[in-house]
Amino acid sequence: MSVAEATAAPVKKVELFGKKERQIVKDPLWDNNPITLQVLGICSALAVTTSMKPTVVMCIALTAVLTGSNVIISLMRDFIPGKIRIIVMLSVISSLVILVDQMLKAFSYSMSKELSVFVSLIITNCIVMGRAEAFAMANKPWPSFLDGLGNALGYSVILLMIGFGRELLGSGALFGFKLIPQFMYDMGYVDMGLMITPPGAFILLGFIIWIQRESSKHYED
Amino acid sequence: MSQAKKGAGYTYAFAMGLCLVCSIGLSLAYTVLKPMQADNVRLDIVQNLFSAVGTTAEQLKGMQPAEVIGKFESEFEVKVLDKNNNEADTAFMKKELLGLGYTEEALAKENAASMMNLFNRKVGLLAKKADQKLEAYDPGYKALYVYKPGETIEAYVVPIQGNGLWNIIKGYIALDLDLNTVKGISFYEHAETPGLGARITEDWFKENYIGKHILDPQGQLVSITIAKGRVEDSIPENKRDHWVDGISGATLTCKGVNQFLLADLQKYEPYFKTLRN
Repeated sequence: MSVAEATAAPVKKVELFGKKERQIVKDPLWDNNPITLQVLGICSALAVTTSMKPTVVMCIALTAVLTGSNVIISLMRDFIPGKIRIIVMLSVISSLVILVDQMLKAFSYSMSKELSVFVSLIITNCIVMGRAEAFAMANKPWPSFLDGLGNALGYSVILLMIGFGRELLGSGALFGFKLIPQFMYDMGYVDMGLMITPPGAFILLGFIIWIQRESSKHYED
Repeated sequence: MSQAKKGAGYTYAFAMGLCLVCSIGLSLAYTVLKPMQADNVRLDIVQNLFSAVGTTAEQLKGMQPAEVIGKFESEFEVKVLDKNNNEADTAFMKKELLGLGYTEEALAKENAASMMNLFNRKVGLLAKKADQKLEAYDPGYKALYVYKPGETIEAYVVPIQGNGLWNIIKGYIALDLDLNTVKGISFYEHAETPGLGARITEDWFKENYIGKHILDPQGQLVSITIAKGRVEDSIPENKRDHWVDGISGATLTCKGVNQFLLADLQKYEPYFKTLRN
């Protein structure tokens, strides 16, 4: 954050948390959510959400990569040759992703095994590339940081909702703790196996998209 | 844009510079994190050995990594066998590896089996150095873990590995004292498709193997094969002892597991024959 602040400071008087800045963070959380409205980043939203724990780690990983790449791209934006800008972004993003993957392997090995290829697949997560191209290339580092943070949190909100629903309905647990008491099972309650499989995630995601668009009054023609 | 005037030379220079910065940064991170990653891998292998002999992850949960390693060292005996099933000495391997530029400290953490793995990986290089053909030089080392938690031996654990669909799968199969009944199986390294082939690491699949037999009633090695679908539906009753339920959507992974399980058990069979008598 200090890098972003330092570069943002000299430019006249920049409000750190003015109305505009708050808007940048708040917008993607719900009204302009990258998953439900722009329908980006679906792949990992379905793949890692069978339970809460990998979901949370995935959210943290994406937040690190997205804010990091946005700030770096924004710092370099005046120097990046226009013709190769996409591949430059890709190099920055993939370097960050490899870094996150290596950190996970060193500090949280079991989690890195559970997330397997999906950490590396952050490289192809359209949200990261999309924000770099659409926002960071044209904005200063601090707003870019906020934009990255906002979009990452927007992604996380939806992922956590799906993960919550899938683990609760599919395994009767949250973060691995059994919530549905044993007597319910004895009485004939059965976990919903569908929720563990990808179609379960699609169904939940469909409902969330419906609710979000209805509440934000967003209708497609 | 101002870059447009800077020309192609600038673009090349920028690309080169970026690549350089990225690669140096990543190599640095890799070098710094490598020892920790290696410790994690070592611990993971040990946990899988325990899981193969029936000690679950829950039972090891409260233990520090060093304690788990210590428990492994006291409860498992690592045997390295050569082509003729005689016990091989690791001193020879160590000498050769030191000749390849490994340091004493780097080898200090390796046990007999991991030293052997390292040696087997490098055997092509060593043969080249000694100016010999690979076949002539390869001593054909294989490792065997003897599980002895108390006074008596409780299981023999055989490392298994071979090609899955995308990459090499590594694991362990534990056999009871009769060297026929399966005590457990585990897979610790693979790159199979999550949700399909990767389901070989799920408990229900591994539990399938427990109690099955690798020898037919005549004492011939038949290994254990993964059926297509459920065993009850496709396999005649007298053969079910050597078959386990399959995973739909993971045909090629299962095929790979079948092949290398048989191949690896065949390698040990001559030695096991002597042990059984």
